[in-house]
Amino acid sequence: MNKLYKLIFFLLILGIGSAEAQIDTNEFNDLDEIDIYSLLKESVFKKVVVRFEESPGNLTEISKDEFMNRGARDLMDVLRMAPGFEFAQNINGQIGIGYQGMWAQQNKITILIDNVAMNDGLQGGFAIAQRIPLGMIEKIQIIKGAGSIQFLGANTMSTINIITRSGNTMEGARITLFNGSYDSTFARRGVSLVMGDNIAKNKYWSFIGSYNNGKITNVAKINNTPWESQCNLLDIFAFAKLKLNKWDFKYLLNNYNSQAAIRQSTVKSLIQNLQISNEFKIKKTDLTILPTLNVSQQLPMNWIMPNPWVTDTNNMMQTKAQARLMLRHSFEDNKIKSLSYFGIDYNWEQNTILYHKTKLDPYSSTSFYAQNVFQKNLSRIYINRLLVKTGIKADMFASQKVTISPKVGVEYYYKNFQINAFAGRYGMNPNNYGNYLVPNLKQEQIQTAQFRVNYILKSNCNVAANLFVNKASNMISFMQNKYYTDTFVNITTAGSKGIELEFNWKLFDGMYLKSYYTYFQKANKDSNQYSIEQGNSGLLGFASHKLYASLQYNLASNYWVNINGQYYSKITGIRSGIRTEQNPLLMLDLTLKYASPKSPIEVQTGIYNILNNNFKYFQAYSNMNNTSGINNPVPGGGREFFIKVIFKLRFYDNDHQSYNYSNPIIF
Amino acid sequence: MAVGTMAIFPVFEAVAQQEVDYTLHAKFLYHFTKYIEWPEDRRAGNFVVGIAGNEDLYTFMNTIAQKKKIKGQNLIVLKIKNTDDPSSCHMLFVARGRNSALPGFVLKIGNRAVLVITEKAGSLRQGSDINFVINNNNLNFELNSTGATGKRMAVSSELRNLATRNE
Repeated sequence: MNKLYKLIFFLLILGIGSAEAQIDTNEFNDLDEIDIYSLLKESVFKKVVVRFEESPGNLTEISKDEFMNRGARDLMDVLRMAPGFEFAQNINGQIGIGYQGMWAQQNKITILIDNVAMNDGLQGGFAIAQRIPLGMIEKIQIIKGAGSIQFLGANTMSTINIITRSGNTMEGARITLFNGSYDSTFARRGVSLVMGDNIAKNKYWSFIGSYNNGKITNVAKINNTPWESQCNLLDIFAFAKLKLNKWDFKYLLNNYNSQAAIRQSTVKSLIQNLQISNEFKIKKTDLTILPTLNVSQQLPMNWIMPNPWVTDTNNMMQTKAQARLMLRHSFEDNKIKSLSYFGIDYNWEQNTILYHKTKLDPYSSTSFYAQNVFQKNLSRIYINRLLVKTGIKADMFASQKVTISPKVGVEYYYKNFQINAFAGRYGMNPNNYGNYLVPNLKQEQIQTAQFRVNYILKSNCNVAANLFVNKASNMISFMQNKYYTDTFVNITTAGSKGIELEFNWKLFDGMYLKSYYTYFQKANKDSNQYSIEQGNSGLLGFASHKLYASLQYNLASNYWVNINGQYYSKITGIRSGIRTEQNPLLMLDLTLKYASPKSPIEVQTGIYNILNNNFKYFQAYSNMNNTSGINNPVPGGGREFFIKVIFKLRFYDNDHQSYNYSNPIIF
Repeated sequence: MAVGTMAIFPVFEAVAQQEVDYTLHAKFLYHFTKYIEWPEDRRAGNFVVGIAGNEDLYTFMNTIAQKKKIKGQNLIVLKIKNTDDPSSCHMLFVARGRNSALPGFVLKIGNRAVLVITEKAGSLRQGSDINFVINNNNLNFELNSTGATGKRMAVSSELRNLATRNE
């Protein structure tokens, strides 16, 4: 821990030392130094606000208005609004993410909450069902391109950053009650509280607390025998944020428990994270310094197996400290605007395997990363605007070789076309536990390339096509052998290639259609289709063809109705050599929402899976027990009726002076 | 924003309309005072700028007022409603959305030394003295120096030369 204390001390010294350098730039300070001739040459339009995670072309933002109006119940419903995401049951019953046909757990997708990485330290996954209430979310960013380099975590295929509500925009509280029920049984219930307020200019706080209890249930038929599969879930979440001028303090606590399908095991996960960061702008150098400290403790997988063979396995505790020093440099001239990031992350971990009573040697790594974006054309006019973004990260581990992960993206606007492309190669070393168990584990490598064309037909309509190829080799997979002992393996090549087509149409004020079609196939003849092969078991199945359409209609000023339709083609799974199939599925949902600016109460209700599909499929995962793999191919349960009531409380009346100071990076 | 592929409608809005940065207008208003002479009776007391219909510009001018004086006079910025009489102002900015109130303002001002500034085409003919226009992303202005002179304000020849049009 000595290194950790040194780091904290270093950051504090840095913070104190730089505090005097804080100077707020003032737009009108140099008013007499400029003349009217130079004013005539300035652009009258607001300069483009560039955030680093923003594209070229690879940022998808889903705002709270978007997902609330469309009746989303949970994070899975929200992510399904973007093409590419699908979900499946992970080992031990947890629901994980698939992306563009690939199983994307094990660090292929990084989940962040306000930049705090949530992936567990053992498998690198994030159990997503009935977790993180939507009421706390301001927006969700899905970042795929070079802009994702800066985030903590492996983020090989994409980064999902969940931005929570902030005190400077809330000035009040929001209580959300949620209840869902299947045809005859309880589905889920939850309560969440989000509150926040300004203290003074640039000083605000917020607090989020939630309790969610849920169940995913499914009935599958195997050899004409119905098997009921249930997964009980409990999620307790607390998140406190305080901003005092340039200082940011965050404390996050998440306790997530899931009882796996058929109640075979209980998986417990506890995350505690404290993040402190500061931002110092150095006058006239175009340089900003952002030191950040993350200290986290995880109990990522505590499996309790009431099985005659095993009573206790896989107890791994992890403490982790991550310090980051980021320098952001902006440079501008009249034609090319450029912004650069340079950063260093130092990561220190102490891992203890309780089951083995073994304390692993401290594990440390250092990452250097650099990003640059330049763009031509200053104004917000999109015609002929060019953005080029590059990023590179080098991860150096004490016991592993250096991994270099470069990404490059280009975005170009020409008339009504928005064209963007990116390519990246990512290397990921095994984690400390993997190193400990299998010292000769190889580095995982993923290559991704995407090319997207978006055409704006009219001011109310667009079509887009995205071609993608993903290939992974030496994929690192966590698994258990037949004695329930942990191991990691490098599995064979996997990959997918395909196309995503989007069509969005504002038919008229109040009626919006969002739709997409996705298709993928295995990347080459050597790769496993759909996902990974696990031991002698089989493949995790996702549908090759998927069609999604969501029609939102503003019935009257305060009422929204939303109809979702999803079509999945045949899903195939192979488990222990047995091939199972799910026939094509059509899912329909209907939701209603009432919200008025004058009313403190907002109500949403609806029915998901109106057609009440019964799934005749069992999940490919798990090679040990004939009953453990039963799963719904579309996690989320059967037909569900839900009701959500939101109470909105404002701390002030409308005349209150609101402090809403954003500080974007402008150039 | 640049690329909200999901946030489709903000993308449309960004294409359809560009966001104007009114800090530039504020700087112009400050600099105009260097090229215009107000009559003797307006050179004492506060220098009053009235803003009709633009909160951003009002805020920016207030920021300038905290730092600068105009020809030795303290700068005061006022919000002007349609029913207000702006005659006590030295400058009056009428936002595009409030242009329908321009004839009323002009009537109340009469021949008092109030420099009327607008941002809508055709406003010079309605009594505006300076009208902002946008050419190739740049903010230019048209000038009705005859009108300003008629209100006992002297407009420098340099400003006349800089105007894209001078009536």
